[in-house]
Amino acid sequence: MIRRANSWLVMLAVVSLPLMLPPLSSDAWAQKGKKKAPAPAPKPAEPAPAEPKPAEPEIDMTQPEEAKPEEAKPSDTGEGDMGKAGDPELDMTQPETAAETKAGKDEKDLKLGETRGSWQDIVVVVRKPFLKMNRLELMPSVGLTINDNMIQHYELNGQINYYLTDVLAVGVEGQYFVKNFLETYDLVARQDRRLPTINKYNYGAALNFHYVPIYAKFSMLNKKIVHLETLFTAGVGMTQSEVIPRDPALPAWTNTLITPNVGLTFRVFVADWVTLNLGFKDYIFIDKFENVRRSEDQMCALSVQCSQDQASGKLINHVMFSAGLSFWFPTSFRYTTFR
Amino acid sequence: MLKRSGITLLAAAIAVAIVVGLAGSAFARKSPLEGQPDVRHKYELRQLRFEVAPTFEATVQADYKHTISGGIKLEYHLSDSLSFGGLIFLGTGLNTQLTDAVSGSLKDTEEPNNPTPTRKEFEDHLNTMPVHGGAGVTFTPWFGKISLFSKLYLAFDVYLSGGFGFANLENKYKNTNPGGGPNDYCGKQKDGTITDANGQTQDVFNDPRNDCPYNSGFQPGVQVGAGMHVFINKWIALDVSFRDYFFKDNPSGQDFNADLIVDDKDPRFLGHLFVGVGVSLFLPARVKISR
Repeated sequence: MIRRANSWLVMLAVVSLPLMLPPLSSDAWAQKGKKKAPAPAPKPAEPAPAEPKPAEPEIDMTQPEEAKPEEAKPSDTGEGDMGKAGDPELDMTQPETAAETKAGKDEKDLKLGETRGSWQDIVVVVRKPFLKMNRLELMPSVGLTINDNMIQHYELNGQINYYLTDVLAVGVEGQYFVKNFLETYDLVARQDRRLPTINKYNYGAALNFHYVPIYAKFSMLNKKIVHLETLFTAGVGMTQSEVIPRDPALPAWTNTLITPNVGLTFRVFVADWVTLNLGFKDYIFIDKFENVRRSEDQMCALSVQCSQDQASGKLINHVMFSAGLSFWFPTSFRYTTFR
Repeated sequence: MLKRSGITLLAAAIAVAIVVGLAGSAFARKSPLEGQPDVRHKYELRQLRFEVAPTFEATVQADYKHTISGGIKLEYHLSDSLSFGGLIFLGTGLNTQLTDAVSGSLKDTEEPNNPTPTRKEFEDHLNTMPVHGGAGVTFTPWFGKISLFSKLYLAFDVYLSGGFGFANLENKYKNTNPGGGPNDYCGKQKDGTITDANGQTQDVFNDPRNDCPYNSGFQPGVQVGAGMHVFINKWIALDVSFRDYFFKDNPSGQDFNADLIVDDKDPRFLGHLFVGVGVSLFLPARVKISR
């Protein structure tokens, strides 16, 4: 009977022990089965005689006796392993020195049940809050032309990017454009009696590569830390442009243009699966414009092929500003290294 | 009996486990950093420092004349987030591609029954911005660090500013209407007439091409901007900014509202966007460190 009571006591301890331990962070799961490397014991703080006590709360470096690791029974499974008894890193008590007063030491002792802190909450270098490797990014955005004072395009843009590493990605992009004439387009015609030669853009697509060389974090009024990164983009694709005839009676035509692009995007991390993006991108192509003397030869002007043959080419840098959100899949991630 | 005591002990073990589990929340670790500033031992790179920033500014997406200017920005930072100051720039105008294209297609002389302006009329009506500037308040809510290729670490901040803005505009227009001397200015034509040498009153507002452009002189307004400092060391920073100056303007100097007269109804409240690059020097060179 005594033997059976003992076995029940053991079972009681086995069941209760995991519930008494502090909650485990997700990274600790990756540590399962691994032993912690012994770390040197923290050096005791140098005594500071006659130093006024600081106003802010001190970090408590001692642990109540009830929670000393050497008094806990070791777990059978190894989960939640706090380390073996006697590990130097777990010895949080400060050696007494002559300068330490008893009153100060008593002040630091916390009663059981009150909140406590420890060095485990503070790390010197905080981990990046967002991992991208082997994740898929869906990036819808809207854009606006910023370097044309005659015709402006609104852009609906969608990108799908796959991150091969945390800094390198490959992806595809599709664009749809809506044109908007600006004030100068009307003024030049009305004031100076000159009709601008302008093309509009219909749609585009590209294959892009992205590289993230810049990582940053900033504080908003010293209250909250926000992480962001900057990525560079380079790619090649196509754009379809369409001539806007100066004489509406003449036929228009479209051009399919090879379009390399370069860009810069700022990304702010909002959640594990959402980021906010602001970017600039330059789409570079040689566009074909209506000949300024097209109307002089009516026979040729009415023929699309003849007009295309007489079209003049010009290098265009179509710079756009875009803003959008990115949605990441899978929606969560996990570190597999020590904290 | 043994079975009953075993069941009782098991139930007791489960009850204890539940109680301990609930009480375990009291052992939940509260971060000792809660309520503390996010950044300790922060270099107060702006607090109580004077900023002198020689800066180069240029217009973005100007219609007829680019303005290329150099100047200086002076700020005094009351705290790490708030400062006040002023800026002034001197510049020159350059033709845009549109201006060159239009000017190159115009003729040198007027044609009968053709309202197209001559090349000189078109170019003389355009204005330039030889002086512009402003004064106001700057708010710096964001500061942080950037890492370049995981090798170089720099402090940076982002600021927003706004306040009074102004520009002094000029054009090359000279009134050459008959009866008017070569030095007549726009103010003499406000009533729409001019008296010639014979004492006859003529209505000069019959051709917008030779009207006064009404786009010169001192123009008050507002300016708003945003920028970024990237600190090379504790007292020198690279400053990149965008600033928009809003004031009444008629860049082409021609009839905007289609009433066949160029007068003070044609200028409208327009934005003039500039991009600026400068070097900010923060004085004194020593910097305080926060707690």
